[in-house]
Amino acid sequence: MNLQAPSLASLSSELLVQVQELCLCTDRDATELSTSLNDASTRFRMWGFNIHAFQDDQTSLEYQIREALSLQKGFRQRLQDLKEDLADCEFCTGFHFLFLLYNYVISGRHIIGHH
Amino acid sequence: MLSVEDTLSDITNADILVYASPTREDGMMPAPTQDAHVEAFTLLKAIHEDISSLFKLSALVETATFQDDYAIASALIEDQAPEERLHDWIIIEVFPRTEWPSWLLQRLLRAFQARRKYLKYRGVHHKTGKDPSQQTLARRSEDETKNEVCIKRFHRF
Repeated sequence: MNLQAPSLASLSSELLVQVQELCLCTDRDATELSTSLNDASTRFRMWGFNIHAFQDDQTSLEYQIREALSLQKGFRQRLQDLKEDLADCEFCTGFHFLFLLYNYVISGRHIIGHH
Repeated sequence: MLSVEDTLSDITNADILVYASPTREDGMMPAPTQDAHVEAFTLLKAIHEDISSLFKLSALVETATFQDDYAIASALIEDQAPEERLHDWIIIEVFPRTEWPSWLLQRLLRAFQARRKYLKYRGVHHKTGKDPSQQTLARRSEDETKNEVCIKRFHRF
């Protein structure tokens, strides 16, 4: 195992915080995006608590798979992928709010125009 | 290899219409926000797929870390002495009316041998506990006891 690489527990916990923060940001608008993000957050929490991924002791996921190097690599790779996707999504949701704001402004202008 | 000029000449007017950002006069939303909107949903799909693959990978954890207790016991516990071993005539004595094929007798003897080794192994290692959560709980209670002893010592001073 690469000693400099973060542990699975720290990586998973970091992702949990990241996904929850993203949910908080999108919760302001009850859109399809926020519902889907909440679903993702629930699923991730379920996965983590079920397999003890957030723990850092002898019951942890890392301890369970300490001798299965390919599995360790697989989990690490998928968590890294998820981290990248979450970061990209975080960036995109900023634009998504711009889109909502734009729609709001356009609809407002439309109503004003009719009056 | 295609040159830049060749590539540019391949771009048609239709392509330009598709990729050019619509103006506000078109009555459409600005391109960056529209793209980001679509991309956000694509990324959400990717996030759900990542989580699904984590679930799928978790199913392998038990298989990858599974260790056969009988195999561990047979590796650690030595074979019994010949006089202590179970013999086929004992089985025939216990079940005299049954007609035992020799292969079945051999198989039964091997199974008995493995079971005896396993029981002996459990007899030796029953204190260590198999469940890691139990080990952790035991360690925590040990730590707490140590802490209590330390506190008592501290109060003496």
